[in-house]
Amino acid sequence: MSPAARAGVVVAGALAPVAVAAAVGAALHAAAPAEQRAVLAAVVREQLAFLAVAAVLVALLAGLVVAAALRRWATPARRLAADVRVVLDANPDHRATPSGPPELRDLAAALNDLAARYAAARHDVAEHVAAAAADLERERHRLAVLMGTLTVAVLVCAEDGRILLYNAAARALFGDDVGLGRSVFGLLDRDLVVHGLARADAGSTPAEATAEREGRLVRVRLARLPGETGGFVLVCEDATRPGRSAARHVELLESTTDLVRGAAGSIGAAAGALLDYPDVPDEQRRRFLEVIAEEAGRLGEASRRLTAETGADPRAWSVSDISARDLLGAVAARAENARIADVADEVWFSVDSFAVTDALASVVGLLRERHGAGEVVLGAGADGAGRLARVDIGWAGEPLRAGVLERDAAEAAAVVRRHGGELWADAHRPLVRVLLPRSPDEPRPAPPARVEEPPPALYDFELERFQPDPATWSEWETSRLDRLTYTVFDTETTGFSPDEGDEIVSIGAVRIVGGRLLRTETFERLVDPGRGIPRTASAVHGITRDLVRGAPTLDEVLPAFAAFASGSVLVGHNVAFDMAFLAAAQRRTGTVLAAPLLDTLLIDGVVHPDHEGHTLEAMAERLGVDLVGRHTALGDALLTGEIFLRLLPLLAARGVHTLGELRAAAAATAQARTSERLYRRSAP
Amino acid sequence: MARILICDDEPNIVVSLEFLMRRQGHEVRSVGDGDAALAAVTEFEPDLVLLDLMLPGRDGYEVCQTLRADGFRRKIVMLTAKGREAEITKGFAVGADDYVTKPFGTQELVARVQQLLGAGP
Repeated sequence: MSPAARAGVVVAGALAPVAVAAAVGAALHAAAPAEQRAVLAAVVREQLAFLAVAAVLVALLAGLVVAAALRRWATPARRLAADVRVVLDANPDHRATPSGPPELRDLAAALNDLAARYAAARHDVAEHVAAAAADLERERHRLAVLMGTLTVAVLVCAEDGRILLYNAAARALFGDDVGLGRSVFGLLDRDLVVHGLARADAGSTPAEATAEREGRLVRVRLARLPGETGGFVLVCEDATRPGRSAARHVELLESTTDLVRGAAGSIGAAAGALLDYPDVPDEQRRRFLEVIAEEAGRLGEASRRLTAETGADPRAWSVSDISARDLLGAVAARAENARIADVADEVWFSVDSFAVTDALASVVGLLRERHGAGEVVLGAGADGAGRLARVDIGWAGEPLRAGVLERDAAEAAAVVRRHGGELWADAHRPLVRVLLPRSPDEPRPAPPARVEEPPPALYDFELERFQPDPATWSEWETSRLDRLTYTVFDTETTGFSPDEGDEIVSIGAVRIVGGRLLRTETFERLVDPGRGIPRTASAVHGITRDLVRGAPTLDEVLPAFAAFASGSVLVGHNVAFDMAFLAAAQRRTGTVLAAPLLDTLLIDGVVHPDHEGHTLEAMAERLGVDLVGRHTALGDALLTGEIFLRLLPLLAARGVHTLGELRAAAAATAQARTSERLYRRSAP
Repeated sequence: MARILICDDEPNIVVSLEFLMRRQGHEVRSVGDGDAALAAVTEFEPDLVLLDLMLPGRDGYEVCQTLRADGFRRKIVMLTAKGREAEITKGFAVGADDYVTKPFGTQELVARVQQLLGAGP
């Protein structure tokens, strides 16, 4: 109760008895006959001073009584209520101080007991939550350490191919292209993954396949994630291990087989001759019997040797499936001046892909170095040769002479033979043909992709809020803002006028996935503007002409940036400015940043329409974001990203939940009108 | 009656092959390596060559391919312990007329040789 209200109550209480007395007097006066009224008026007139003093005294007394009652009852009750509020909303350990009459003291004591129990219960819950969180943190840490120590790359993907988890080895193997929320199909050929998953579904778990990636071979093991939401795990390795012991194993088997067949051939021929020709002369008969005895001894020896030496582990013989295109791609990447033509896409080989790539590349090298082949043409096909398919290596020039290839490329020939294949040079055409075993499993149609439900979170990596890339504009428009993937970016430039020759000198960007700013997934490139950088501009961003010398041009950087941003909403501050600089490069390169575009400046206009400053600095201060690393493209992108994330709940409070709603709201702001004009003028 | 050249480095099979071919009334010569085989073809002018694949020096594929490149038009039979699909495919690709894998039936071999010589039983 305010002091004014209190005073009002006290005054009212004080005046009430006087008013009652006056009213009684007035009523008596009105009810009395005329002669008595005159008497009464005379009495009042005579005793006026006395009555006035009495009224004041009564009023004072009544006022004091009311004030005392207020102090004794109402004030302690109100204080008690405030104490309870503090306990509830601010500080559970706060206690009421008992005051006032006994009834209120009892109430305060009872409320204090209740508060104590409430605080204890809260404390218990908090302890349990903290313990559970600590457990989870330990698990996460353990998993992170475990993942980090693995030398194989691990990728956990949702059913639609989005990466939910990757480790350091995956980063090392795939470089910048790997990232949370990105598609695994940017790293590995879609057919290979689909093929591998089909094999996994068919029961051969884990399925293996080999892919070629920028000249290196990557061996991929695939396994399905259990559960209804789908998804899969990929374990990838650089396939640089030729598998020597296994090769020895195969060679041993091979040579023993040949020996056994040879001995059996000799025995069979001698025995057959003896049986077929009963009139064999004695000397010849004796010779045949000697052959049989001798070859029988060799067979026994061969079997002993086989038993003694079969220690090698055939599993190390790392045969896996690789598509003809990938195999030839790997060969072409290893050998200079080789191109691929005529590849039957349905052909998959089942080989130790590294060893075979090596072998084929050495054949190509041999053709060039010793036989003057210029450009070499690689092809592959099946031609109905049963379990084998062919690789053809052709060139312009003379055919090879008989035996030359086998002698000069003995190692390559040995590798091919270990696989049960063969290679030879055609006598009439400049062509080397290599037969290799086909994969027993042909690629099958893709399993149903795209599961609407988000995948399960692995160890609660907070990735359960993923959703597939929206495919159409209407899907974008209805997408919830807190679930979209964003690329927040910024550029530094030589000046403010793209129309007058100013250019970009650096681009920085960071991704927001699942409502989190992924500080490890950033894009930062210096750009050679192809012109001088004014000292005034260098003073702001610190980028000088010397620094960008040798850096790629914007036309080279733009496709990389587009790839980084693919599948996400672009976010920038005063983004029309940046887009004006990017417009010409988009026209020149044909690389279009096709994603929806959001501007934090306009969003601030939506949530703070009455505020004056919509600069990054003003917004950062208003939203409690630290200003660190200003005026580098990446630093500003990070800052913009943090600001953007803090704007999202404010938008939600204003009923803006989807991208479509935000775009509509932003377009209606006063800031949008000037900005749009600028953007329209310079858009591609 | 035809001239048969046997090219195998394994005496224990050669002894039987020689016997079998002679019993069919053929004139037989045997050599133990690829170079000797090339020389013998020029000098002996065989109607049919029984050619092993695993030979010291030039292997059977090379001998076969070289003979064909040099214009040898008579029959060549690969007679070998190597019996895998790829090896058989290669054998025919380099110019063999037939491919017999060890171990083989003596009567079958004789029959195939006679058939190729156009003088089958």
